[in-house]
Amino acid sequence: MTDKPMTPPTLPFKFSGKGGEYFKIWIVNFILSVLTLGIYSAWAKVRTNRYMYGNTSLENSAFEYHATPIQILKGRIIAIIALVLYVLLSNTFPIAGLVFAGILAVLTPWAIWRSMQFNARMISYRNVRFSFHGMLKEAYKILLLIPLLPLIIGAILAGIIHLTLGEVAPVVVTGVIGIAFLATYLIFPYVQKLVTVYYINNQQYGQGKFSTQLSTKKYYAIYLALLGWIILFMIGISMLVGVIGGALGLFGSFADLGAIKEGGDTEAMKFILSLIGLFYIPFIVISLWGKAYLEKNIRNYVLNNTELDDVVQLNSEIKTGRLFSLYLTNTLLVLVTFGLAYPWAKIRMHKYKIETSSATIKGNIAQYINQQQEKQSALGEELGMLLIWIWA
Amino acid sequence: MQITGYWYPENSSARYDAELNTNGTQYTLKITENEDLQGSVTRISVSDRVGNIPRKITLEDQSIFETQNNDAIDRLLQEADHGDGNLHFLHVLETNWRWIGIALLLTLVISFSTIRWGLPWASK
Repeated sequence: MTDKPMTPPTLPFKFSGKGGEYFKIWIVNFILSVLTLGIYSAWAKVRTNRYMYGNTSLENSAFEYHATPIQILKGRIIAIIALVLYVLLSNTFPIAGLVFAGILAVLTPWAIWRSMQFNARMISYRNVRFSFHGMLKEAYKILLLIPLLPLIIGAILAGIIHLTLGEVAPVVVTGVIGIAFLATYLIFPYVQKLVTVYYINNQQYGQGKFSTQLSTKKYYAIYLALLGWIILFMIGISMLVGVIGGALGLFGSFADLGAIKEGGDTEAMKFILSLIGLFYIPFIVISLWGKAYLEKNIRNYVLNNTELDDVVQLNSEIKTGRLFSLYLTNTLLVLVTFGLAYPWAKIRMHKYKIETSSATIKGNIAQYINQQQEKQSALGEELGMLLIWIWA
Repeated sequence: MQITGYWYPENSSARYDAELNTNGTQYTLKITENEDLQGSVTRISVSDRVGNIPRKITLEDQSIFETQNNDAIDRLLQEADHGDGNLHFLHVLETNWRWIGIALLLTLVISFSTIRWGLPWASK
């Protein structure tokens, strides 16, 4: 391209995956994984990722996923050996299990770091690979040191107070530890911001560097607004439950609880179902809305502040209402079909997120060249998945 | 056979329109603004087919030809009896409704058995 247009063109990301097509790949993946006692799951992961990336395109060129099943399988086997060791050790020697859990905790930042490297390296666009260049030291700082800082400081303070105050200490120590735990939650938005900045600012496309500038204040503003909305919803729903419950005379019938034990009483059944309906469903709906609100705000904020050199500016315009309705209908769809509609749910969600993203091309995208890189192993990625699964 | 797509030089994001012509086991790739590339079909490597995602063909000089025309590539592999067609049976499994029906049935049987007999056994 020699003649540059005055306003740089903004091009949409496209996703061409289809629910029915993906369902067939998904069910074959499931059956072959079961029949091969899990071995095929490595092929399943590769085929799924190739399908998702291969159907994501920008300016008529699709992304590509490059990991080989053997790479994934090796990582998976080592991760499973680690899990078996962990279970065996913690069953036979409880202390050894505890030590092992400590080792796994210390390993987690390393696994996440390796996983970021592996996943970036396994993706290409227009024949050029992405890569991740974050330092391991930094990963330990933002994934282990900072999140644990409130507890470390709390423990030191509690120790000092215990030694100096003596008698009144237990109450004060409990208070200090309580505040430390609270602070661990309170710094979460800050840690999330640090991780996002670490991830994006160390991301490369060929020789090109991604960069973002995010403000901590904005993250806290998003979380605070979320909290405000949720409190408002809770108040609204409590009032509604009070009015409807009162009208149905539900609260007078707590005595009926005894009737449930007698069994099969339709009045009692009705009472339980009403309770579930009145308290449980709104709770799920509000959590899904909160998830959508958070995701919309953070994803839009991060992508709108991310660029590749001064060549590509990313944009995202997710809407909370649409995202929320997708979460809600997808959850219902998957529940009603006992999970069989999962492929459709996944494709719908992915399509929405991809197609609300776009790229403003301000320079020449054909200038990028693959950088020489060492071979990657999937160990960190697979161990990381396992660790996340253990901690969750 | 004539297959249209894009060509990328080795390791580069520069993209050129290209057209792959095959004649038996020989191929010629016509590339805009570049010289033709030629060679034997047995020397190229082709990515596995998954759904309808673009197919990547790595040529002898490590440059890349990429095309959306999956069916033509499948035919090419079959005609040249190319080893990269070996995993094609997976794509056949993933597209044939009869196999999908069997897989679905098996899934239901496995899920039902797990809940009916597997869980009580595991919780003993």
